[in-house]
Amino acid sequence: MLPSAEVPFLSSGWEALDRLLGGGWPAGVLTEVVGRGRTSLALAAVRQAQSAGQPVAWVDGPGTFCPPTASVDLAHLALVRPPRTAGAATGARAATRCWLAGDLLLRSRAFGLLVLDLPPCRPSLAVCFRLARQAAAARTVLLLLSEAESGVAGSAAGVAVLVRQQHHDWSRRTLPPPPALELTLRRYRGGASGACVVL
Amino acid sequence: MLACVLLADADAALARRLFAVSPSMACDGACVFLDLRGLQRLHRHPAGVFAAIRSALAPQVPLGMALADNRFTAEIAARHGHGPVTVRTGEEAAFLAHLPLDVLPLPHALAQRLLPLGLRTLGDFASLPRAAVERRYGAEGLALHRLACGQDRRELLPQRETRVLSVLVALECPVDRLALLLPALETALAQLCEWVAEQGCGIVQLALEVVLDHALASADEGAGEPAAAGGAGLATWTVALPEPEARMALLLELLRGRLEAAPPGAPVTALRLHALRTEPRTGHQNNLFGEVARDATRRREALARLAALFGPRAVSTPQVQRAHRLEQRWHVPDEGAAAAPAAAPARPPLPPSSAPTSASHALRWLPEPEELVPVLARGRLAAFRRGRQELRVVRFSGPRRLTGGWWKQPWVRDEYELLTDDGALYRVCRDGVRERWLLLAELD
Repeated sequence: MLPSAEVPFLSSGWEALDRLLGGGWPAGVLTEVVGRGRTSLALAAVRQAQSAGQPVAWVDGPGTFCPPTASVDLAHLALVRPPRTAGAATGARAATRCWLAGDLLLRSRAFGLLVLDLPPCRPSLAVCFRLARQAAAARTVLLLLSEAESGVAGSAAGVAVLVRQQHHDWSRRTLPPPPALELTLRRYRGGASGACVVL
Repeated sequence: MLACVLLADADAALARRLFAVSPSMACDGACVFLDLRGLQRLHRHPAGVFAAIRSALAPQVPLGMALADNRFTAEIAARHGHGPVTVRTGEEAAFLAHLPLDVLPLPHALAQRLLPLGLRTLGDFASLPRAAVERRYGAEGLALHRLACGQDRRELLPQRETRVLSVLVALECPVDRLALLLPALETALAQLCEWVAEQGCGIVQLALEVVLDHALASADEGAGEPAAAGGAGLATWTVALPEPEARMALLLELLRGRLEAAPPGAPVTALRLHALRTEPRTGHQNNLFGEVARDATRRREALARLAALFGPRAVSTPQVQRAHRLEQRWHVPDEGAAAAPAAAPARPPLPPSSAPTSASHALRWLPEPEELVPVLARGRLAAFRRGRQELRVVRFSGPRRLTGGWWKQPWVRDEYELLTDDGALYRVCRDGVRERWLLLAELD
């Protein structure tokens, strides 16, 4: 649940989304972002956090973080890539390592923003609630990126956002323009919501 | 109220004894000034202060002692008074009035101008109108006039008491087990950490020295071979820390680890903990209305733990470099992997960045390119199979031909952006050397 009067917010980078979220990504709340376009949203949050002088960590569970296209200050980004041994890339072990890394980083209370990019594996709800509690204690903005559109955090997430890309037409001789992002607020302040915004 | 103690000579060790009288002390040659503000209930009256000074310096005897409200009056009273002198508040000018003018720190040129005027005492000089003194002799003359009137605005620059950061614990009986030694170690460490923390410092290098009882060891083992590392009957362990540390629990764990790895070779009769080197701790200051400041030390600790858990390359700060292919445009430096925990400090706040108006090309780059099964129609890629899923190509751009490595291992590939019917935009390439299609990345 969001203690709205006390929670500081981190700007998402889009005014429309900030308005939708009541000020931005809330600190101390587990925020789940699913769907295609979640990386763009998370990277924008990283840029905002770095502009505000907040330390940022990114746990790259799938190992797909692409530094040249991230457009963030890499020198001040703690990138954690848990090892992906053969057979564990999509397995529970890789996911467990991600949870472990996220839990350890949150317990340090030394990061203003933690992006937890999950490999495709559904965690237990107890793990999600533990992370949510740690984020609340650390007053850290916790963004949980998941590929599964149904979400993985369930009721542990204070905010859940579904992202979809809307592609524009383009010529085959040019690079495709960046797609628009359509966001649906699935869950907000612990309750259901259906607000939608296109960025 | 200040106390001035005049010693026989400038003796720093002797002056340090006066910390027993006041924690705020400043030395100026043979003169030692003590700030007594707030200590009235401790010393009660001036005689109590003088008694405490004598007691602290015993068996040495001070040449002079005085109490006054300001530094100049106290020093002059100590130098020229007979026995302990107390100059009460408001009586400074009267006390100084009969003293000769040369007690003032007069520059030679100014003395040459004042003495012909017939001024002989401080009282004579103090009786001159202040405005006239300032007009004729400037700021320097005005400062001297204030001193002659018993007004000295100079504050003390107190020294910090340099404590010997060493704790000695004598055990009641020889101890031959670590579990029995640890409580004594904890007691000593708690005292040491308290002292260090009082000074705003942390321990960088810590030494544990134990006195071994070889007589007992010889009796038990039947052999008198000492296992001491630091000399006859002594053993020493040293702990070096990368950051100043004053947390007792952490230091105790480190010492316990050292003792478990190399236990003392004989029962221990006494131990001494010595902070060999201390450094100021890097604190952080929260402000009342802003964000909570994040502790850089805890951040480095957390990242170091992850590096220990997953390997040094798991925690990294990638560096972007120039390269032809996107997957080669960053690297994790080998030395940077180990130093990565220190490479993630909080940035100083920057001006708020302008809000992005649209998403950029943020790619998810596959760690290993995934081979695709193409479905061609009239020589063109119409769809591809990814696992069990067949994705139809809705729109594409490309190809963009990249070549290179002709001097060593030639490669050529054509890159495409493919929009598929599931709404995803992929970057794929056709490997011209091996004649295969590869999925490189997904726009996310």
